[in-house]
Amino acid sequence: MRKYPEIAGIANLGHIPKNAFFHAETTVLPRAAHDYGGSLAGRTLHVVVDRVMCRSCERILPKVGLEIGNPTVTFTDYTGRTRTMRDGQWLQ
Amino acid sequence: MLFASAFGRSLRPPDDVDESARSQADLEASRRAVMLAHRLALLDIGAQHFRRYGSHYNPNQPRVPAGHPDGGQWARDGSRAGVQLAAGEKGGGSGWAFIIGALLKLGLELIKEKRKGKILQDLFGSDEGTVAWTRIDDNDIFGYNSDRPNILRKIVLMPRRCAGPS
Repeated sequence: MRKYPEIAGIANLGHIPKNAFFHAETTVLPRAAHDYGGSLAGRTLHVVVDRVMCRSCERILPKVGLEIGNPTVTFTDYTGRTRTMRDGQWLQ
Repeated sequence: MLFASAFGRSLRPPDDVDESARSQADLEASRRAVMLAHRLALLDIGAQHFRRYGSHYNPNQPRVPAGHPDGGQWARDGSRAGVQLAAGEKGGGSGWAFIIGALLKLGLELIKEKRKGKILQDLFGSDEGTVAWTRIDDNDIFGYNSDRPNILRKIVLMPRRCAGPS
């Protein structure tokens, strides 16, 4: 987390935006990476979530993506809203 | 020389602007290329899912759009205000909407099945928390909101500590 000063300054893991580390859309990515040797490099994923994505996840997820090999990931929440991330940012 | 000194500076900015605009256009084109490749990959993912599970997705079924209290829910008929056909949802074309809609419905059904295993339900059987689903190489992978994100800690937060010699 030292690589990302914009979130490193927040001491408590339960505070915004670090609370996103405990959210389902964030935990599913390292869980998937763990099953594939810690990296999802070059992969394309589609993640379905049964709630709406929060602001904390919007900030944290692109950084988590970079740490697991920078896969291209599209998230779709239960309303049908889609967001795609890659290279540490949201493409759409 | 006089011409250059008189007009050189005034001519340079438009060149810079052109170059900047060209760079922006190149960036936008590469972004679109990435998105196109990503959508094609998602089409492939969708095809794999449908081969395994089949699809009950019906692009002609009405759906309540986002912004409504029950946004995202399937509607029995399209007579209610704001209800639109699933295939007409945002996303840049009916093909894209079809794939996303079908993947969404499949994912929500799998999440619902997963929740039935008493995961993230309160004492009264109501859903609580959030579940996320993805699929890689025929493996269903679920994520939950958790107070102990151990795998996250292992992969992202403290990779060095865990990557030592075994």
